[in-house]
Amino acid sequence: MSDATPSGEWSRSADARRQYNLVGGIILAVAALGLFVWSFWVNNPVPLPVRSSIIIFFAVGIAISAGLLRVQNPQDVYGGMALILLSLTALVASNDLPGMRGFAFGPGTAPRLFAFLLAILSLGVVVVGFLKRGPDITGYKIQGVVFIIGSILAFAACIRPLGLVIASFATVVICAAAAEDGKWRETLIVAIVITIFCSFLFPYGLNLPFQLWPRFW
Amino acid sequence: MHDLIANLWLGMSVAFTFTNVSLCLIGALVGTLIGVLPGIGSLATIAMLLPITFGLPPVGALIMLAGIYYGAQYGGSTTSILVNIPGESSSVVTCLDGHEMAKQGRAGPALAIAAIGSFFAGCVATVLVAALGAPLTAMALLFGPAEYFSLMVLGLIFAVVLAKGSVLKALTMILTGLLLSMIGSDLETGAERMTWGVPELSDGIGFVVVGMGMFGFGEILRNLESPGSREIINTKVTGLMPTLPDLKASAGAIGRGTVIGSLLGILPGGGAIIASFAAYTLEKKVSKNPLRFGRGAIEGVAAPEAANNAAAQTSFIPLLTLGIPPNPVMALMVGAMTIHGIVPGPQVMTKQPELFWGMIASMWLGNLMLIVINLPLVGMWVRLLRVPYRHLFPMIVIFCCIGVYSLNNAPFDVSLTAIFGVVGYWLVKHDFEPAPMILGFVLGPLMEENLRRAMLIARGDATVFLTRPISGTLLAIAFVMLALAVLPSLRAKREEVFTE
Amino acid sequence: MSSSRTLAGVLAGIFALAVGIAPAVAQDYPSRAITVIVPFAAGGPTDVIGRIVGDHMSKTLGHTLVIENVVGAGGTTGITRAKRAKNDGYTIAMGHLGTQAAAPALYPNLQYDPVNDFEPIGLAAGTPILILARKDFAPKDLKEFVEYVKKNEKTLNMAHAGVGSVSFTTCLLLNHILKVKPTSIPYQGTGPSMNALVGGQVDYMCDQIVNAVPQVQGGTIKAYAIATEQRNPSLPNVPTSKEGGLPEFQASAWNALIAPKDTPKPIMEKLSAALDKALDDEVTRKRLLELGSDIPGKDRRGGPALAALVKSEIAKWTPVIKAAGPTN
Repeated sequence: MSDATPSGEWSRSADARRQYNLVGGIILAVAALGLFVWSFWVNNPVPLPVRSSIIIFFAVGIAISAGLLRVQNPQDVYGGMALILLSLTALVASNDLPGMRGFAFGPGTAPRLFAFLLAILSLGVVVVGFLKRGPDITGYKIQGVVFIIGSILAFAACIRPLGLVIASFATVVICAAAAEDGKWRETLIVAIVITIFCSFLFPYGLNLPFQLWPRFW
Repeated sequence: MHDLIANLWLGMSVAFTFTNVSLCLIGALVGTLIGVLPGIGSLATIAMLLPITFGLPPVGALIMLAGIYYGAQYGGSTTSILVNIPGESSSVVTCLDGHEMAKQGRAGPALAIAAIGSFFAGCVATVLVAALGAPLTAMALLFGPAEYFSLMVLGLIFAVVLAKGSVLKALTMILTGLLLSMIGSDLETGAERMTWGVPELSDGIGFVVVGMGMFGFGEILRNLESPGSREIINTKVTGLMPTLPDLKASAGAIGRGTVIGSLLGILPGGGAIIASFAAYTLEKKVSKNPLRFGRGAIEGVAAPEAANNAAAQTSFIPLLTLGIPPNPVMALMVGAMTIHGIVPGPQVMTKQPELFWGMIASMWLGNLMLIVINLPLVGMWVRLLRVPYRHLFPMIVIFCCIGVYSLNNAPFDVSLTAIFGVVGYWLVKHDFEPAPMILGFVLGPLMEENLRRAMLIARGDATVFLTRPISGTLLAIAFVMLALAVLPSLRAKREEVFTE
Repeated sequence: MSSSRTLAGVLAGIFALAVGIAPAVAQDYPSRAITVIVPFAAGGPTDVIGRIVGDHMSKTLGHTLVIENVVGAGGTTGITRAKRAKNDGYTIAMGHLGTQAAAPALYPNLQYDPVNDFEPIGLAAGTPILILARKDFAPKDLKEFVEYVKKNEKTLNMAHAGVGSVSFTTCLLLNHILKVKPTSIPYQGTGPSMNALVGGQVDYMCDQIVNAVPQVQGGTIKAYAIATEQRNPSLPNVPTSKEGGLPEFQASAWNALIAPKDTPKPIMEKLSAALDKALDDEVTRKRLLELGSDIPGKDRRGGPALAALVKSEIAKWTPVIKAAGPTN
């Protein structure tokens, strides 16, 4: 999918890369720490192998951040590490579910099985990432993430209490701020047009049960 | 043979009345509109329109509802191609090459080939339903839990093959999808699994939430990164219709897609979902140049579109011959029938032949309507892409929000979609492909259910998967496919680094 | 939750007065469409019954009854939403055997109390339960069936449509009466479970008559008994459980309209009367009977009768479900 960096060449300077790994490793370690603490909080005692995996994960995070482990392919290392974290989380979360009862699967069997397999395969991805050079992760577009996600959350927050008209207008305006080349006047006009369109299409055209205006209007 | 023609003739005479043709047209139009609005699926629409059909004659009502169903199926591929949002699980695959074509300025040919492929598949499948409905039903009944489980395994292997990059990473994505699909109530015991006490999660995460977040919002976030990619979408549109080489390349793909779709569509337990993935994988395997797939290959649009339309058609078979609905939309059709005083079941064919054959004829009619509606619309859709991206993406976002909200009237779903948007963006950044994950997500519950059922029925004897002939065959195919996928990539791995 | 709702209610009242729009008073009821929450998917038995009855009630009340399908967690999601709805008579719900009687025993974290959180409008129509088996299942009649199941308990597979479904609860009742524990195979809904029975992958199950009539008539499955007092006109050849020698097995998937607690009395009376009228209407009756459903007689209609039914049904099902062991 990302054909941005065609070869396995690193696009960052050595310093920037060191910094990236410093922060990245710390984030992983902190997340692992959080999971570890939480594993004491759940009802059933979490088995020792899972806990020790979390500790090892924490150690690897620290090692990455300290530069002890050389990250050759950041995409694979961070991607794989995150998936391992996900599977460990799933193992902790599904811990209280009963497993096999004789030949019958319990509710916990499949989630734990899949989580275990995911952890193993992700470990493979991470190992490859330490051994084989790969492209750097291109920078995130923070402006886009903040405004797009913000606008969606704004919609979720507004639709019930404030109704479709206000919710869609607010969403479009916040969303448009994600673009670099947006102009305020243009955005407002577009927002008004879209809002009018939506307020007719969905409740009237499609007969969906939408509330248009704030409650008690 | 003679009977078949006589029956089809009866059906045509029922379907081709002015009222029924117009109802079919209205249905197809509404369906197309619904399909292109992300998130608003055919299920919700048919449920909404059910009361309106109370006043219609039963045959007309069913023809209209069926029209909506096909229309929505088709409309879903339009959004997949234009804005990378799969409306239904079957159009996920269309995103892969369809949206890539749109980015290269070839949205027109992609949309047109989807329509043409669907139409061809629809015609073939209609005849198939009419001629072989009953024997095919008998075949579908041979599929028990063990067979379905093996089919799901095969389906997941397809997902590995259709991935562009590393096999290992595709496998991790499948497992991530499987794991996510485990969230919600357990089927057998009703126990809450990994729901963190959130009541909204107790029925699991919806497909639309994941699909729209990972594909739709993820794509927007990625597009916003570089002003360059935004220009790719709205400049240089090269031709609206497929060229002769395009058609030539697609012909075989459409044919193969139709066959796969027709066969898998009959299986009520998720066959239709696998159809489009299977068709895409097959094309990639038979292609002389598999590297083009995922980078705008027209066969990659033609085959899955033909397959999913054929499957949509043949998935009526269990309903028509047994009266058992294979999916929620069909369940709704059963409801519609019962409200109109028709009891769908094995006797419909003999007791109410005009209804049975009228429905079948209307399938073909519906497909005709769709191509009539959609080919002229291609130009309009492509023009939509010329809207500056800074105006286009807020529109996509708001339509998606409204669509997701309308599923359950739950703001929680909307927020969850936002989270999946970030996840999708993050995955792309780390060179993970979302398509295998989506397939794992969709097939996960089916796979687990059938595995557990098979084990219960076999009293824990896991060899049933190998000893039952159909199941064993499917697993063998899956194994061969996986071997074919892994071996070359192991060998090519070293070279890839230098050549690509 | 409730205090913030009260506050919101008070604010709403003040706001409405300030703007000059008085809240709809009972005399004018209904002045707009009424939402009926059906806690199951559109097209299912409860939904179809709701739509048929609602269609006629709309005529009586002068405003449409809009069916809103809120599915999830064995129907309890929809009923929970109905509990939280405003009690102005514009949101009512269609509860049924599962949500109003079995749910308290099935779901330890149930968010509502079927008895105290709702006002009963009245019983709509029920769908009788059948004992069904694959077409080549050995026993010839109910008596043989009972013996056969007791003898082969270990090897038999019983299908059901998922925890919390009518087919699940009534199967528990059957097992409870027969004192057997066959291997139960869960399916996701009645469609797939029926498919498995037709395909011969499982041995027997219990299900509502609506789903079974075409299959039994078509000979793709067989029916041993119907769990009602009288035979059903849709399947006149299927004996009642009493005739077959299993009189304890009485079960009907009843559906009833309910309103949130403290819905004003005049509104409740209007709704009950409209439901009553619908159940007397010839066309409505005919459509309901085509489904094989049983329409409550005069003595079983109305609010008080429903309230009594809910209480007795909870008493009936709780021990059955508890005896089957914990489900989660």
